[in-house]
Amino acid sequence: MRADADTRHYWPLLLPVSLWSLALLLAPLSILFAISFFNVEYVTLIPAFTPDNYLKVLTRPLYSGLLLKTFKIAAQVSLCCVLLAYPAAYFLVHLPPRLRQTLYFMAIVPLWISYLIRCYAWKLILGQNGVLNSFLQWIGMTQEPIAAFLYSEFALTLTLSHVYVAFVLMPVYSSLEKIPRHLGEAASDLYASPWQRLRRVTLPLSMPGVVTGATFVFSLTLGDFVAATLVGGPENLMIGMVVWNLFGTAYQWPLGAAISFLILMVVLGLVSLADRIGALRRVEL
Amino acid sequence: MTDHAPLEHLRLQALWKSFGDVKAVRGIDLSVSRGEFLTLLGPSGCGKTTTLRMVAGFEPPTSGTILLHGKDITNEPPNSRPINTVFQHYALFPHLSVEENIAFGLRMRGVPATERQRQVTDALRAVALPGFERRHPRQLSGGQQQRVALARALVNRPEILLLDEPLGALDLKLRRQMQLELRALHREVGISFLYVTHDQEEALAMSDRVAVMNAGRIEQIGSPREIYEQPISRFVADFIGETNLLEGRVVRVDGTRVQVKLGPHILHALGEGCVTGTQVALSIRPERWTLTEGVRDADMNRFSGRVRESVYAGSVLRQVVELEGGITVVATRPGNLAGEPAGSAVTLTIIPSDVVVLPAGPPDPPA
Ligand SMILES: Nc1ncnc2c1ncn2[C@@H]1O[C@H](COP(=O)(O)OP(=O)(O)OP(=O)(O)O)[C@@H](O)[C@H]1O
Ligand SMILES: [Mg+2]
Repeated sequence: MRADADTRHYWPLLLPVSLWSLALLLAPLSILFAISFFNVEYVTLIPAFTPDNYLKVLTRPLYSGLLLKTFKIAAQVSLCCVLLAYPAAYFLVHLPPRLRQTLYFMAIVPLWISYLIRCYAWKLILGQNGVLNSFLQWIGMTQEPIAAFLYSEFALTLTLSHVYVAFVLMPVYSSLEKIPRHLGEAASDLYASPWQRLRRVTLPLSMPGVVTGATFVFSLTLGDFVAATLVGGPENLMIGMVVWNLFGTAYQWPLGAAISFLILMVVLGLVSLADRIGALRRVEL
Repeated sequence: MTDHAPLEHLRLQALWKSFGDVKAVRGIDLSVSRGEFLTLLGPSGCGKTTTLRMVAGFEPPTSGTILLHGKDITNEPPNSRPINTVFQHYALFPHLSVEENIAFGLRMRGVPATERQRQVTDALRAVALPGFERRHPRQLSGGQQQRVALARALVNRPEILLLDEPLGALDLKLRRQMQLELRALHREVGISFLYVTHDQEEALAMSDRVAVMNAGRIEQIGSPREIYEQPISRFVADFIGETNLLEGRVVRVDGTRVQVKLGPHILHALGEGCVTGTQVALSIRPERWTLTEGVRDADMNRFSGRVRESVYAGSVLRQVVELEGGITVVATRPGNLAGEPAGSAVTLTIIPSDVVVLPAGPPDPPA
């Protein structure tokens, strides 16, 4: 292809961003990686080369349990986002073009509102004196406010799903939009019911969008700790919170660095896996 | 025209389709008999695809009915019509192999796997693609994709096969070959084909009957020969093949023998329902002229003229001849003839039955 032959002319254009990544991403990461093998005595970092930190993370139930729980929540959130976003995107692409653009925009815009504001909004909705409880009492379903809504895994999953749902909506919408109309017609023509058409043609062809979106959400959720603090409560810590503590008050940089690296490895593995699946699934439309 | 009522298979009645202000199809009446190869032929935008899409069930008609064996299927969804389509750009499923593509319809109808397998193998053999089961559509050439699309539709043994310019994307040579194969396949399977093309040569070569469409209507329907030899309007005469359209006035009618005044000339023609004194159009096919004296016969039309231009076009020699009175006509002759050089005087003759009398007036009705 022509584009390949011309790529080398563009290398100079990549220089600024490459330097930027080198200085601000690769360098700190390397330092962090080195630190993950250090020791700490009182408040001094002792340069060393010990796997202790990694062993600690993997063997101590506090850390490994928290890691697993975080993965579980990330998986739940990704699933919820897909389940919420897919039908919405499917509905949108079947609207007439003008209406579709407008509604898509209307679906995306609220999701640009600050992350923190949206977390607080859920706090207001789910809290003891929140909107949900007031409503339930008003219609007489409960007498007392239900405390269990807020500070629960449910609240955390719900909030994070809302926060990140746009990251699935966008790629799924665009992959659905790219499926040519005549493929759906061909399916119907070949006796597929609307449901079979969705399952056999639309869904497989929009899979790259789903995989991309779910990978985004999973990775983003793994690193989240603010929502966990605001709506998850003390019972529902996420590993990000622990890392934050280890680098802060606890002054356990090496341990924090080790956890960070484990998460980073998982995310990288996941992204490359998703990329591989995506590449397998990718078909010329 | 023959009456197809006893064998009638598919019938379209007063079919209309509007998209907003655009009237794409404006009252189509058509019946396809069992096993027939019927072609919708017409210029771009005349509503061929729209008609086909209504038969397939992708597009609800604005009004009118579609009957299959006398049963009204106008409101049936596409998946419950025993009709299959070969799409213009094939519309093969890119995520499925050739085998899975072909088996798709069988699978949706719950045909068991072993039976499916057998039929897919047969279908691939029928379109001369055995051994391509595991390939994906992107690994096939245009012609091969076309065959897969054909197999995918035919394997379901539909009552009617709809084909929307299935050969449009192929190069000329392959198109000619596929025309023959399609024709043979049609004879073999005995399924009614409703075929769409804007290539008149293709329509003439393949069809049992051709429906010539213009601006959302059927202008004329008949066998390829009828359409070519006896066009009923200027539009049909002009659209099918090449023709000389000349304007004249009827000066004498004697049964079916008509005399038309054309500038300084009187032309003998055969025509029905002509009225003395009316303006008419005459259609003369370029290959029907003879550039010899011909038989001495009172009815024979004979003109002297001068060759303006001779264009060699391989199989034919195309000569532009200016007749007395400033009338210019095109005559074609076998390409192996040397032909008279430009400027030489020639005599053109044509027999009355080769002059088709048509109503005069604007070539196409307003869209
Ligand atoms: N979905 C649509 N919305 C609006 N107008 C349409 C639509 N489909 C077709 N038309 C219009 O209807 C008319 C007939 O279109 P159609 O596709 O049936 O033509 P066609 O005979 O198949 O032409 P071609 O040979 O170019 O394929 C055209 O004017 C076209 O612009
Ligand atoms: Mg068309």
